[in-house]
Parts: sequence; C-alpha cells; structure tokens
Amino acid sequence: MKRWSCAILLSLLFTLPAVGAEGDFYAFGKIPSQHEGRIKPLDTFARTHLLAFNGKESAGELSPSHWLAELLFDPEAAYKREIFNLPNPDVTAALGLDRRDGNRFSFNELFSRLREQEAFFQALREKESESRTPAQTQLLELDVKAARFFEISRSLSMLLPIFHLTDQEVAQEIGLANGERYSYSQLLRSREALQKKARSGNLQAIDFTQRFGAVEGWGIPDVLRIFPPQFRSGDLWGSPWRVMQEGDGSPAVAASLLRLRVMADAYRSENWSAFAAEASKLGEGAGAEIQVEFLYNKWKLFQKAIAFYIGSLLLLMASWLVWRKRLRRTAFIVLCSGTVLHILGIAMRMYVMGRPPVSTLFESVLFVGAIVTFSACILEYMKKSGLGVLIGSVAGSALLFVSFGYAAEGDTMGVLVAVLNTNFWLATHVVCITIGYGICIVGAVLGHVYLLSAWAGRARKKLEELFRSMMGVSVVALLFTAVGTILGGIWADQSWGRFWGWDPKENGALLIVLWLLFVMHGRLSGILQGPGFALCMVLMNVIVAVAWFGVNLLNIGLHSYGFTENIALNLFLFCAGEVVFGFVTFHFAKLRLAAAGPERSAHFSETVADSK
Amino acid sequence: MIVLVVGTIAQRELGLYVAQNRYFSSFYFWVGSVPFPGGYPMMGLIFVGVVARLLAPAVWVRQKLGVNVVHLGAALMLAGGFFTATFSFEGNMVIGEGESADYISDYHATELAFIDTRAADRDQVTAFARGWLQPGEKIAHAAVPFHIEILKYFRNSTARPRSALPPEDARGFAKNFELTEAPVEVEDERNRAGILFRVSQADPGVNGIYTLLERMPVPQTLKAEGGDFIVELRRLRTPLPFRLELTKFAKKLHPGTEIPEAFRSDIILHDGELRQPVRVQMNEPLRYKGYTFYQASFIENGSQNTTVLAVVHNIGRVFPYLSGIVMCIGLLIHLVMQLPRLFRNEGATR
Repeated sequence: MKRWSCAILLSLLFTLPAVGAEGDFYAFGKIPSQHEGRIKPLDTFARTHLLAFNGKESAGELSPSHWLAELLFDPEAAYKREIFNLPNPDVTAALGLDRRDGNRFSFNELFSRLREQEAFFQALREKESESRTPAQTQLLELDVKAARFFEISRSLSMLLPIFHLTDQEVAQEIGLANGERYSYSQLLRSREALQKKARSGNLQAIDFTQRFGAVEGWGIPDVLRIFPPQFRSGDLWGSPWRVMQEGDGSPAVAASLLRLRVMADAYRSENWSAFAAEASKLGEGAGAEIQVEFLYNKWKLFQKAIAFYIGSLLLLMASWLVWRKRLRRTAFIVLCSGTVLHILGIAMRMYVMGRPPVSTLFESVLFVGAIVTFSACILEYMKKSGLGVLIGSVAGSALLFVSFGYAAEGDTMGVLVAVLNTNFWLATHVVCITIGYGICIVGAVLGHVYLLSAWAGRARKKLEELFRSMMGVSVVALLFTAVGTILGGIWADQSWGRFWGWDPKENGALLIVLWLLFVMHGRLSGILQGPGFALCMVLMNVIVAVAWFGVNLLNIGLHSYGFTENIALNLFLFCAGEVVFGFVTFHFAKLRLAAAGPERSAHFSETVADSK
Repeated sequence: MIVLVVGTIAQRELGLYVAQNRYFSSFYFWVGSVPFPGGYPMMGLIFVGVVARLLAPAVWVRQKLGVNVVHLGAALMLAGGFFTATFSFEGNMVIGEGESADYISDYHATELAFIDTRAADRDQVTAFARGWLQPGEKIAHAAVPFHIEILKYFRNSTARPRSALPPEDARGFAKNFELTEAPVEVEDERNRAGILFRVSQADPGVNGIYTLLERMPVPQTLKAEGGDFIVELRRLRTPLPFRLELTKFAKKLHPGTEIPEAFRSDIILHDGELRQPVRVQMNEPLRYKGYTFYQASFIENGSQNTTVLAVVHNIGRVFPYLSGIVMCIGLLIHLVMQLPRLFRNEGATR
C-alpha cells in the first residue's frame, strides 16, 4: 500500500503547475479589486471578462493576468488582439466581417463597424427582447461587451505616457524636459499654459489639448475599482479616474497611483521584474482570500479531478481484461486522488466566499459530484469489487462535465440575493438536501449496474450483493432527503412563517422523498422485486434531475435561482434516455431471470420474506 | 399495504402537478373529464393508512421500532398539516414610511366596507365579504341605514368613461363611468375587483346604482341619517390586536451592483401603552402574539418608501418541528439497526 500512497503524492504534486514565464504577472493578478459586488483578485476579473469576450479563460498565448495588464498598460496592442469570439455567422455578416479560422476578431475591427451601425443597434435595442432573434441578441451583447472592453482599456489612461513632448517652446512654457514622454496626469497641471499656447497657434499645444479631450471623453471608466474607500462613506471601491476626479485621494491612493505609473513605464520598457515588484507592493495587505482565489483560478482543480475520474474509469475497464486486482486498486487510488482534488476545490471556494458549499446551481452540481465520488470511494473500500470505482468515475465525471456548462456563464463566486444571505440555513438545509441528491444518484447508478448485470446473466450471488447495496443506499438517501426537506420547511417557517407552500422546489424535494418511500414500501410489500426495484432506482435519476434542474425551468417560486436556456432540451434528453434505458434493460433482465429458472426467483421471494 | 397503494397514487398525482398549487388544497380536480382526488383526500388517506399501521399490534416488534417511530412522525406531520390548513390564515400589510396599520389584508378575498363617520372621534366599520358579494344578494344590516342589492361583481374589472347617457338612477362614480369585466390575471395581486350595487331605503337623492373598484383614489360617500358613510371595495381586512408603525425602510445593494443584499423595515410596535422598536428583515421575521411578519416586498416611490410585510397566523406551527424530530429519531434507530445487515457481506466477496 505504501507504494500507492507515494503514487498519490506524486500525482498530486504533478498537478501543481510549475512557476513559468507567466510568473511575472502573478503579483499583478493578486491585486484586489471590487467587481460585481465582491472583492476579487484582478486575475478573476480578467478571467470573467475573457470568458465573456473570448468564450474561454485565456487570450491566445497570454495568461488572463497578462492580457489584462496589456489591456491596461498597452491598449494599442490589446486593441489589435483578436479576442472577440463570434461563432455565429449571422453576427459577423451583420457587421460585415469575413469569416476566418477560430472566428475571433479584434476590438479595432469591431469598433468602427459598431459605430457605423449605430442606428441599426438603436432599433435593435428598442425591439422587445422576446422578439429578437438569437443573432440580434448576440449583437446587442457584443455591443455591450465592446463598450466594456473599451472602458477597461481606459481605466489607467491618465497614467500612460502618450504625450511625446518635442516642441522646445512648449517644454519651456510648462517647465518639463523636452523630448520625453508624459502622461495625462503629469500634464494636467499645465493645462492652462497649454491652452494659452494653443490659442497662439502652437501646433503641439493644439494637438495636446485636443488629446486631453480625447482622454477625458467617453465618460469616466468605472469598472476597475482597485481603491478601497478612504474618506467616503459606504463600501464602494473607487476606480483610478473616479478617485482622481472626486478628490478621494489620500496619501495611500497617491502612492498607489504612482506605483501604477511606474508599472506602466515598466510594462512599456518590458522590465518585468520591476513590474512584478511594483505590483506586489500594490497588492500588499490583500486578504488571504485573494491569495486562495488566485490559486483556485490557477489550479483549475475540477478540470484535473475530471481527468482523474476518466483515468480511473479507463483503468477499471482495463482491469476487466488484464491484471484484474492490481489495475482495480490503481483505479481506486486514482479515483480517491480525483476526489481529494475535487473536495479541495470546494473547500477553497468555501474559504474564499466565506459561505457554505452550496448556494447556486453550479455549486450544487459540484457538491453533489463530490458526494457521489466520496460515497463511491467508501463503497469501493468496503466492497473492493470495482463497483464503487465504476459509480464514482462515471457519475463524478458526468456531473463535473455538467458543472462546466454553468461555469461558462461567468464568475461562479458571485454575490447572493438577500434571501439566500444566510449561512446557517445554507449550511444545514441545502447541504443536507444536496447530499441526498448525491446519494440518490449513487443508488441510481447501482440500479443501472444491477439491470445490466442481470441482463448479462451474472451470478445470483453478485446480484444479491448489488441488491443489498441498493437497499442500503436508498435508506441513507431517504434519511438525507427527508431530513433536508424538513429542514427546508423549518427554514421557510423561520423566515416566512409558513412550513410548506407548495413551491415547485419544495414539491421537487417532496417528490424525491415520496418516490423513495414508494420504492421502499414496494420492496417491503414484495411487489417490487430485484429488477423492479432496480428499475425504480434508475427512474430515481429522472426524479432527481427533474427536482434539481427541472423546477428551475418553471422560473417561478422562491428557489428558482438558476436558469439556462439549453437546459430544458438536455434535461428532456437525459430523462427520456434514462426511461428508455430503464425499461429496456428491465425487460431483458426479467426475461433472463425467468429463463434462469425458479432457483433465482426463489431467492428474491426468500429475501422478501426475510425482511418482512 | 394501504400506505403503498396511497403512496403510488400520490406519486402519480404529484408527478403530474408539481407546479400547480391549486391541486393540493382541494378535494378533487379534473384532468379533461376525469376527476382526480385532490390534496386533502390524498393526505387523509395516507394519514388513515399510517395510523392503521400503527394500530396494528403485529408491527410492534423490536426490529420495527425505528420504522414505527418514523410512521408516528409522519402521522404527526399530516395532523399538523391539517391544523395549519384549517386554522391558519395569511395576508399582507402595506405600510408607508411614517404611517401605521393595524389590520391584515387578505391576498385574494375582497370586502365591501361601510364606514360610519358620524361620530367625531371614532369610525364604525361594517364590512361584507365572500358570499355577500354575489350578484342578487341583498344586504340589510342594523349598522347600515339603507338596503343594498348586489347587481354585478367581477374578480377583475376596469372602469371606462360612459359613451352613452347614464341610467337615470346612476349615482356618484357610476354616473360617468361604466364597469366592465376584464380577464382574470394569473397573478392575483394584479386583479382589481369591481362591484355594481343598488342602494334603497335611503333618501331619494341617495337611492340608486353605485360602482366601486378596488384601489379607487377618491372614496365614495353616501349621506344617510345625518352623516357620511364612506363605502369601499377593498381586500378583506382582519384586525390585529396591535398596531405597526413603519419608521424607515432600507434597501442595501451589493456595492456597485443592482443585486439586493438586504431589505429591512424599522418598525415601532404599538400595543396598548407599549411602544417597542422592532426590525423586520430578510430571514428575520417579527413574531408577536402568534403572528409572524416577514419582509415580502417593497414599493419605492421617490421620497417615501413603502414596505410590504407578509403576515401569517399559524396554530399548527409546532407540528412540523415535533414530527421532524420524531422522524429523524426513527430513521436513525432504523439505520443503526439495519445498516450492518445490508452491508454485511463484505467478507464474502473479498
């Protein structure tokens, strides 16, 4: 066993990325900022926006932090970077762009076209949102995204050395050295002198004053909020421009602005070590949450976990062919490592957000996944039959795969609406009910395995063993779902003065409990025997899916906290597939068992009598 | 066995009607032309099944202890549900900043209220609701010095300026406006009930046809016996034994976003001589004398904010707690007794 422990350690170490060339931007990525109502590292800020613009959390060869640094300190280069992903041909056609590999376009390409079509966009905006085609909705979204991109790019425009002083006369007038590059903030105090010079016809002064207007135009960029409130009341952080204009400057802010200027110079002269040094000073005093969130972003633990789960499944399959025992054990250990990474990821999220593991649909999927793989690990430890590995790897990777669909919607650690802002109930009711979901899924997968094994004509003893596991799992699932549902009622009573309101989500939870009760009573009364029970467990998956995702589609009630357009179709396909699978395998399993003769059926009636 | 059968039927029913509340608190409902039992008989049947099980002496053996306790809990829960359904009521209170209220408005039912303002310092309110508001109903009450006959009543209605000359006996609002029925909205709060009624046995100038709608900006008054009677059609009011005064409503947003972080109503509770400051906010309702007030909604209107509190009065409140605890204990007992048996075959497969 020692050997295997070493293997786990090694594989864990292997998943921690080495510090590479991008390391120069780590300190920059850890600078705290306020965005969408919470304090997050700039790295997350960059990733969220990249996800929106590019459809993925990277910008070609650049890391998210590097990309953001480029956008802030060298906008000219960033404007040329092909960063807007426009997969829909209708959108590119409407903008008059030619299709190309990857369908990514630069801001410069978009900007002029968006401006030219202003009238068209105005008409689109006035159209009712229900009557817009998908392409029209995407065009409007693109307009917003481009505006956001431009706004971010101007966040530090007053610090960028874009004024090249070449006129001796002007230099003398404003008392700055000739031949140097200056920033807006450096020239601001000489504004009147420049204006006077411009009136007297000096070309450079005219150029400078015009460019003053260009820097100031377009409104104050207010997205990049990196200064905690100093003298103002409230907890709204300030953006560099806002702080400068509203005079919220304290010595600390002045020092930070100076740092940013040094960073701008360092970026332009590609002095990366100076850049990193200034950035780390700027990020000083950031909470440990920021550090952990940065690591969370970087490690991408859930993507690694899914790789482990799939690897474990492959190993298990291989073990059916050769090296039965050894490969199965390896598969088990790989599954365990994946689970560890998975749980570590959830723990990091909890630490960063300071709230219990489940508060959004995305988190519920992650958490259920962890529950499933964790209980599968326990099952495997107890039974050592490969069954647990099968369940954990299949269900775990499937659930993580589903969760990635939700992660693509933006920052997954967003703030919560008022009614969910309660750690106590999130920690009890929600956790309990999601554990219930997870165990139900384990039971459902067991049901699949049972039916397939019965169809394949596995030995009676194996089936009996599976059946007992199923029974045990369903009892535990009932415990958690029932307790979770009652806790939910108590939350409702505490918060709204009523225990039960026939809210869709409540009904969904009740549905699961009733189904489990039905299955159990059917089992005890002898109506449901082996295959029938297994069929009910397979259908359990459908019920869980409906209660979990389906009720959100109704979009009414207190609990409808997540809505995705594609989910309806996927859910329907999943349910239909499960129902077909269940009944087909049930039919053949029944046939097989009947053909096997009375010996086997005797076993089932015997266990029924036994448990009565 | 009964439990099983009932469970199956309940399943079928629940599966079909997950989102449709009205099927649960009813005795039956129709699917096409097939009647289905509603929530009440269904739960009643489950209750009978559960109790029947507990009464059967054969099940009281040691092995089944946990299961029996669970069933006991389930019976308790259903009984609590029955109490709640029968004796609890709910409604809401709408209070503007600086104002106060001492009654609960029903979510659905309306009432026709006559307010006797003859006494200088007190109003006497006589209200008629539910069955009284059906067309053809005649109202004669000692507290109201005239007779009333309901002519029309609409759940949702609009008033339109009359295009033709009004009937000769139309009075007040009815002279210029005509009441028309409107399709009933899905959200009941948006429905605006309307009523048409005839007053008789009063002065000739007062006798006639009147029209009322909910939330009319100007009250209608009738002169009778030397005083003014204000008449209103409004949501059914239930008086409270105390009064709530809203001093301030506050909404807090997550910084830099439009996502609400918290809602809060600062309230002064007036009960007799008592003046107690209290606070109602999300997940932290006010409980007082069996009533629960929770923050449900708000109306932002320039300088004055208005809070909407939902109010519940529930006698069966304690049952879910009790039954929840009982069921948990039962499940735990059962688990502890059964689990080793279910997972026992560990050694056999190694």
